Amino acid sequence: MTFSEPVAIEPVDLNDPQTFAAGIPQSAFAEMRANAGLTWSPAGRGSNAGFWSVTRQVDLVEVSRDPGTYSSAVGHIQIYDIDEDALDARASMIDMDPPIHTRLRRLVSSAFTPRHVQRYQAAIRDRVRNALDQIQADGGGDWVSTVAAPIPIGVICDLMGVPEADHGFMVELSDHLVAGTASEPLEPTAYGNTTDLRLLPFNSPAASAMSTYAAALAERRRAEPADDLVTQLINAEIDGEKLSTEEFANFFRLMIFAGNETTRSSMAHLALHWQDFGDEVDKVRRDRSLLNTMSDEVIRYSSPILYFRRTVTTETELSGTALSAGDKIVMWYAAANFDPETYPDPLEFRVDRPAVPPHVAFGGGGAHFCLGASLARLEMVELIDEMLERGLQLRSSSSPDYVESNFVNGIERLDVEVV
Amino acid sequence: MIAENDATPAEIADPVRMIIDEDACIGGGVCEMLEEATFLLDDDTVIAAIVGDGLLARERAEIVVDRCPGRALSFVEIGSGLEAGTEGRSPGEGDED
Repeated sequence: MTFSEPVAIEPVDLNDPQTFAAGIPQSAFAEMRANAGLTWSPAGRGSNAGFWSVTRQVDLVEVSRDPGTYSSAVGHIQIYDIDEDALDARASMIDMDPPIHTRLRRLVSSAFTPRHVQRYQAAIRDRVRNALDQIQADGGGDWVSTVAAPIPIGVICDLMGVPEADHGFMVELSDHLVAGTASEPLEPTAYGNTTDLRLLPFNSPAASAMSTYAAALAERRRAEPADDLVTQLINAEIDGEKLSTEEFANFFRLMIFAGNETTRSSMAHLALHWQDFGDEVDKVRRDRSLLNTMSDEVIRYSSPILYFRRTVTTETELSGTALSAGDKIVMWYAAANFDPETYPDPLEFRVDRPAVPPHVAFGGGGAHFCLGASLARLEMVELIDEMLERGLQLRSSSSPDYVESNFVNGIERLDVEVV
Repeated sequence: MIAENDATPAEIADPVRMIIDEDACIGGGVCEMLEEATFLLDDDTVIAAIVGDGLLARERAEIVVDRCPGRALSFVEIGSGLEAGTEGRSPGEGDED
């Protein structure tokens, strides 16, 4: 690629999962936010085409709200390019633009409105209590596998209708999906997979296993309908047509992945914030009306999804950078959430940040605004509130073990002592 | 059945009337989360609707407008002749765009 104007080049390799091995690369993102236009990365993994990075909040919001110019359906939503047949094979609503996206989203969105998610409040609190009972009884342990993982997977599986006995399997498959974003290629025959890896989401055999599981669960619900989203999805019709087996499986995988991976990351980071920012936590201890703003601050600070990509559909300009059709635009939520223009002293964790402007961990608005935002907030509020009720004190006994990925800001393991 | 919001302009400091652009609404539910006495997402369409008279204190209205992920909310001054809950125009004004 040649440029008519000089462009700023990435200060670190954003395509290398190792760049994120110690968490969000704050100083590199700060440098990129200060560049005049967008920042160019010369090459994307698995493709020869480089990409543009969006790191300022204002630019990210603009891209998010203009799907006509910045498409989710054209090209891939991850940095690396994949073939058309692979795009088709994995397409769920997250890979689509309005109006098709909107119609698919409406099949499930009524279950995620703020009022509806309140129905799950008691069940969420029970899951929180059980998890905290466990780690307290053990005097500590791995915060991720004991607290941060079981709560969100339990909640989303309840909504979907996945039996309790299979929750652990869903976590395992979800982890194996993320492993597809690390540097090491995955064993192609894992989970008895026979599908070409390039056709699978995250190039992970776990995607195939999840499809098989989804199909079996759908079969069960056809025989025995229940009050859950799987039953709702198998009965749903768009223009008189039911979802195909593949469409259903892709929907199922998206819901399980998005419902568990993200909130788990934020809940894992919460344990770090709990120790690092004790004075801020104490403010909420004294004034529970700050629970909501603290919850959003945890989500901003943890930025569980590091980026999503869009592809430019027409010649345009963003932040002074000229863009052509086919250019890749990578929205780094983790950079925009620490934009000092929008969030003063962004590296300070403040439980009482104003409600406006909102963070972009749920996206910068527009059609793809996080479907589960209200659910995630509620889960976080319930966890924080119960930790405060119990006067829980945490002390890390190891440094966090980050997931090796430039896509999710996950923590694999975090050993804590409970005091 | 949800109770009508019976607040009158006299009870809300500096009230304004909320308006929803239904075509722009993405059903994100942020308005319902922030002001549940004023907004309700329809169960079937998952599009926001106004409950009651749609009046909010200006300060709150500005927050809800800014937070809306679909940029579907706006507000008008009370007595401007626009009805709550529609992208409306006064009768007889005709289409301009």
